[in-house]
Amino acid sequence: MYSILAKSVFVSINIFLTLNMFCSSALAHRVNLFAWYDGKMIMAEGYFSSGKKAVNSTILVFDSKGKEVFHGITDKKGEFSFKPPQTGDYRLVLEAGMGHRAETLISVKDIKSPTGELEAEQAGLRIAEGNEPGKGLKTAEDANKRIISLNSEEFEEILDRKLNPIKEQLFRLAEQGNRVNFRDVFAGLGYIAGLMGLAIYLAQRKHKK
Amino acid sequence: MHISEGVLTVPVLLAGAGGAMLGLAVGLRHMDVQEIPRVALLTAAFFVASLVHIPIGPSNAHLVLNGILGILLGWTAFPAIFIGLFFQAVLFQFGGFTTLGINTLNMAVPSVVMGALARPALRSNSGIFSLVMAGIAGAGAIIMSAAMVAGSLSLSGDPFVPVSRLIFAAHIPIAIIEGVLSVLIISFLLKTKPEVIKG
Repeated sequence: MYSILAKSVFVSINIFLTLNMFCSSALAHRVNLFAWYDGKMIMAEGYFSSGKKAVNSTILVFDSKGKEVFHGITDKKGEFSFKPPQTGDYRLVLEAGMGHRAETLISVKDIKSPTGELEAEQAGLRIAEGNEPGKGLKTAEDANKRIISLNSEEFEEILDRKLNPIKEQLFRLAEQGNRVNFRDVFAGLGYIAGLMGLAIYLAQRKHKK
Repeated sequence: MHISEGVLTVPVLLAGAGGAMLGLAVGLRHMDVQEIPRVALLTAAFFVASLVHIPIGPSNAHLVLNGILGILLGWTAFPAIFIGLFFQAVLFQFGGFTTLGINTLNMAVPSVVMGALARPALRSNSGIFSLVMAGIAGAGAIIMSAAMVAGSLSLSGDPFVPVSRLIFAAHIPIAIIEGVLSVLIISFLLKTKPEVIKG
């Protein structure tokens, strides 16, 4: 029995050495789904916990009543997007095949982006101001120009450029949280050792009786 | 190999849980005090094996080691695999709680069957033949598990043929690797500690 214990220590050390080699690049076997609403579309990305993208996987979209409103397939980057028909909560389910499945909830508050509405309001206001007598045509034109440039795709591009790094960082954080870390591995081994002790204790007590 | 939560239908999950409980009961009956450390050691090995990811093949696959568990444990592979899967579900979110039963069944039944197949050969002193049987048990347990996973998915409505083709394709490299691994481990044990196998 002692030799078995000694061997168990030896084998677990060996397993850890192997694990060390594998762990950086290869952490097993679970699929994750990450989704966000960018003001117009619901975007989603699926990836395995090894970092590999979930390509060609089915994504089903259910509304808050559980009715399927959309389904599609992820592209080569594991990405997927669709335009939500109305505000409300949506449940996205990713099926990556062979029993792999992930789901996430996302709520859509405003179909039109709030900044867009604000801009339109401002534009109306400025134009109204411009049409008032006593204000020059030039200012109205100036105002319009400024607003037009804000409303243009450039504006979104700038926003994207500013927000993308943050989005990426959030993404990485979520990804890290989903990864298996060594603490969990040691915790599991500890629990197993504890259970072994408990089992031996109980078995021996039964033996004595 | 781990089926996630929400994929299978309720009858399949219940049947899996029932089968796993039966297997657990038999396994616990076979486990006496001297057996416990060995079961715990192999539980630990099974628990970490799923982290050893094999980057070959179309999908993510990892070591399972259920063939070796079957050879070394027999029926007590059931409690070992159950506990290993439980902690994988808690700590790594592999599989899930509702699928714990069916996952246990899918990995432990091949383990017990292949173990029973290989053990007589290993007990006899037949050199090469026993190593061949160890290899067959190691690879066969994976193939049989893959078939059972495909079966449980198809019972829940997935079409059997394409699903099982995918699953087999993903697990053939693992089956080969586990076959080789069990030959290595068993030959090592036969040389150094034959009483572990012949016990």
